[in-house]
Amino acid sequence: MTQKLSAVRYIKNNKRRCAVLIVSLGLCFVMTYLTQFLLSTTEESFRPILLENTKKLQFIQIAGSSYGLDVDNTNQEEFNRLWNEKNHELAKKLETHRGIKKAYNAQILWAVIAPAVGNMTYEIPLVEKEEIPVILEHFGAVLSEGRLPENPGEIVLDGATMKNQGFTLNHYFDETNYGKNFKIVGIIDCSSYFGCGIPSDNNRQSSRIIVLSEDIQDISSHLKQEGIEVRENYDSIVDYSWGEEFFYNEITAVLGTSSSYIYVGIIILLSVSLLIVYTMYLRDRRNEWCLYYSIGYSKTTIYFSIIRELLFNFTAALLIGIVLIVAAQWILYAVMIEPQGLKCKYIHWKTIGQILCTYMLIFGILQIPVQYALFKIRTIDAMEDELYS
Amino acid sequence: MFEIKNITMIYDMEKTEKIYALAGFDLTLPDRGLVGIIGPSGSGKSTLMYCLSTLKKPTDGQILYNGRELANLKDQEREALRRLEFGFVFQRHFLVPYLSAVDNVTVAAAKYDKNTPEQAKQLLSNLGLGSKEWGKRPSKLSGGQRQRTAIARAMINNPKVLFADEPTAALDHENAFGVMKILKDYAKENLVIVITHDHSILKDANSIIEMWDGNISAVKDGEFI
Repeated sequence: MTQKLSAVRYIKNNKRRCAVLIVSLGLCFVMTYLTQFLLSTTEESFRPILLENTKKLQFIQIAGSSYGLDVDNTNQEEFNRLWNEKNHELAKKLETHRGIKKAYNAQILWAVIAPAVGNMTYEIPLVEKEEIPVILEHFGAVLSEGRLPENPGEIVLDGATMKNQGFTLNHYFDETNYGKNFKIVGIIDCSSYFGCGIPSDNNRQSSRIIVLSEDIQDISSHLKQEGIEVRENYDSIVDYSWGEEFFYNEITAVLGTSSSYIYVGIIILLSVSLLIVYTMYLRDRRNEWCLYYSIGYSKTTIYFSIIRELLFNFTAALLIGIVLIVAAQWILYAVMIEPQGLKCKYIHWKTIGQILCTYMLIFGILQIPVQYALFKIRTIDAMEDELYS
Repeated sequence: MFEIKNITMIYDMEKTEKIYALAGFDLTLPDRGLVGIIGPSGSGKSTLMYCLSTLKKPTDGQILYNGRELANLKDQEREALRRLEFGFVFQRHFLVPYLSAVDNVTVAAAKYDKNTPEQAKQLLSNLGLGSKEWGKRPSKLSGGQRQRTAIARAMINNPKVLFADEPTAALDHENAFGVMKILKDYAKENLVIVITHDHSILKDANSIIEMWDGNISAVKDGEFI
């Protein structure tokens, strides 16, 4: 069999050098991927709040002026009475709409979810005791620990929020903001972050209308049917169309931009450092290739042996990278993501595509020193001429 | 085997005072035997060897190898010739630093199969390198052992012509004669061209070509010179 220049010979005898290339390539793969993985805890944790909760529950807060109430010339007590009346009226009307199961006048609590980057608040509806099983059933949540709220100021909360915020059963909910007004009496199991409870005795003012609906995307159109034109600066609507817009414009886009900057930074750093290191490696091998060329190997044969070595290094880097990523994801999930009640996404096809493109780009960039090294190959006589000239 | 006609090699072609490494001479070399090319530095002996081995192209004149003019060969044909029919022992041995002695020999093998390492070991053994040395890298070998490895590499394809440029330069007297004996044995069936400054190592040569200033100053033929 005609002998080709074996890449294995070099790799086998230069493990340390190859390891440097493999490890640096592999680590960049790992860094790029894990950055995306960690950022995904933000995206994946916010996704159910903005895209799942909002399909099942909508929160409406209509300003008094939007109802036509005279804010300036009515005293506070009277205004509150009229505003509550209007809210009740609107809730009753909305209940008659197709797709709306229930509409309550209710209070809300704000719960916080804090992933690796950023944080987000979501609404916990506070309703009458008998409505709690209805809401939980509508939400697909089941009680897993403790009991359902029975008295004013008692709430149930999902396990993930409990972990994320360090709450424990039978302790007060967010004491910093709400004092000792709300106590967690039960933990629920559900696919998203969610909770509900009974209003505290200290405040019975119902500021929101909570709508339990079957996949209503835009509640504003229902309000319009009742003669209420939603005004952006006065009224507050939390529904799917708002959640979707917020998720894609504020979360995905911002995180996408951040990860792009990180990704470009890694590529530049990797390309420059690899180019320098690889050029040094190639320079050290000039005599070897001049010898091969002198004893009859063609430059094409030498080129393909270099390419085979590079391909081996790149493939090894990818495989080692995959192993490290799986291990790192497992560790991060165990020590950080799961204990904090966060959600994450393991497979990022776009990032994998980006990494493969980066590898191809770097492979292409490394052709520059390779081609230069080939250009510098001389026969031994020319090397000796160089040596003595 | 080689027929050389009016071979000329000029360095610094662009300058007005041209340097003639080979000043235009004729020479015929046999199919087998040990041929020594001797002369002081700058006499053109290395240039002649490189021209014969296709590493350099002469400025003018013809070199016929088995009737084929080397200057007319395509690059691929020249590479094939160097790989299959010629063997090289360079002045600086040019062993691959990260390869063992055996691998340094097999790397030059035109064909590689499971017997190739055994062949390499046999060659090294014939050249006096024991099995302890086979796995060592060049940095762990003595000057003589390196040179023997380089000779084994040159012989792995059983070339018809073996070019040796100062093969004994780095060796002591005893080793030098040992190496020359090996080359002499190889020259029984093939042509071995040895370039040297040292007359003493050519005592067993079949012919000696003396060079001076790019010309042949004398050719001595005989069984023992």
